[in-house]
Amino acid sequence: MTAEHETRISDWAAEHHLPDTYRDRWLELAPEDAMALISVTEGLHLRTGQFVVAFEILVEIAARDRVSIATILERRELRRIVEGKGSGPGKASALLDALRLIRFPRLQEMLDRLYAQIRALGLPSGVLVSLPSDLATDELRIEIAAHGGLELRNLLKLLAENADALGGTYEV
Amino acid sequence: MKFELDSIIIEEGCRTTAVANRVIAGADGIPVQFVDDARAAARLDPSAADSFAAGKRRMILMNRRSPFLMGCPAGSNEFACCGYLVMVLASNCPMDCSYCFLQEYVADNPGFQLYANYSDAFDELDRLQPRANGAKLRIGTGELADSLAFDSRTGIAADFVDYFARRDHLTLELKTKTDEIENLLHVDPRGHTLVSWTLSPDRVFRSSEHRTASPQARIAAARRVLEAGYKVAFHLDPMIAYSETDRDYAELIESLFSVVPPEAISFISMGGLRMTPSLRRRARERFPEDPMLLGEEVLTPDGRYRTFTPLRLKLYGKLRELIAQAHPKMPIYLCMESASVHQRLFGSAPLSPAQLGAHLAGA
Repeated sequence: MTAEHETRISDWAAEHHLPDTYRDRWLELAPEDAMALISVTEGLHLRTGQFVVAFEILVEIAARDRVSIATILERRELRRIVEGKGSGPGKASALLDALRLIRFPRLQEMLDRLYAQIRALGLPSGVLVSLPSDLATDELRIEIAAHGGLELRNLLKLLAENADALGGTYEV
Repeated sequence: MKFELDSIIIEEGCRTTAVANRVIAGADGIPVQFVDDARAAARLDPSAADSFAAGKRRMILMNRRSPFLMGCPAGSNEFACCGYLVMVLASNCPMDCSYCFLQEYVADNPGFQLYANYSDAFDELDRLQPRANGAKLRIGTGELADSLAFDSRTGIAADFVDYFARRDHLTLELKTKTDEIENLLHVDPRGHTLVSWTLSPDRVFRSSEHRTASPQARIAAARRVLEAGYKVAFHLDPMIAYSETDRDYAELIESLFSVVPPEAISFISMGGLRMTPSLRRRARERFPEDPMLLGEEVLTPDGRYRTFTPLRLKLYGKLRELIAQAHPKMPIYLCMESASVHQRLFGSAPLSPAQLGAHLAGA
């Protein structure tokens, strides 16, 4: 890594109060990885917390897939975000979402499938069914928005009719 | 298997015990040191690059100052538990699985401690009264250490098999990832000792279960103890979700049942990979290249990283189906899972820990 890159990384870390452990791990990366990361970090104006999340996910993907961080950041879907139009914060947030998708592909696929299953029940708009974030448990959260007793009774009746299907959301 | 040691440290108070004599006789060039109080030797050595790994290579023969019997440390009201009682005869393990909870649990005392006053455990066991309904208690030695690692040096396991052979209300479970069974083959367990193996697919063994016997060697050892009159059981735990998990577990189950008849297996337990954030951090530091630590685990309400729930349920369901195809009445239970996960998988509420414990002890 060039002295210029080292200085850029150290300066960014200092300006953003990045914990020393992260700065040190960043500087210990292979030069091309460290440099690719500072380019994206500066280009997207990542905040400190966003950098930490991105850094951890990138390290994990690299170890899991046995590829370099620079190679990951070269992926088409990530390049499109980094080089695309839009605001810095919007692009930063999109980058993190895209990285999570690479890190947790089956989780996203499962979320999509379960929500499609729930949508297929055709529940009215007064009933909102949500799944736990990251599918960390097997619970369903059901929110009912009713305006008056009649609507409430109707929604409860519809819910009762769909109870088995909803209860079977996670069927193995 | 012969595990390597850097040193053996013996507390003066244990110097003349039979187990100390056996360990000294088998030291085979490993330096032996005597100390008044060995507790300091068990603590981590901050000068070591990997103090936990260094602790595994330091055998410490000492007296246990606490009771030997305790409830299973994994037990909790949050989970549908199995009523397991743990007998702590040793602490830490010469093998080094990347996912092992001991990396956190004994992080401050990683020395491999072996308790020379283990016969005191017999007094504690004697105080466990037979239950009124005749139900048995299941007591294991493989929670904070492997039950059989180093048994070729210590010869302790046979003493316990012999003790339990004369206690109709107790079942001993020796849990291991070794094939170190020679000492067991000369004792008649009279149906009161069960030897259980943790089994993982070959891919997990190669990636994560360092210095353990291969899955095939474990299965072969199970066959031998079965023929010697022992009961056998298996723990498919931790199950790790990677892209070929389904296929690899199908192969594992097939190879298990081709050597050990499913009807001869007392039970099979299943549990998903689970790691507290600090264990996960520690494991990742020690094994940064192990892809098995980088599955799709998410932080769950019990404070542990686990494979996200529907995928975990799918894996359990697949395995249960494979096992049931071979032996529909095989007792199966889940380790460290909630009652709702149990209900989804088995279609019924779990038994109470006491009921399940008695059922497994008598299986």
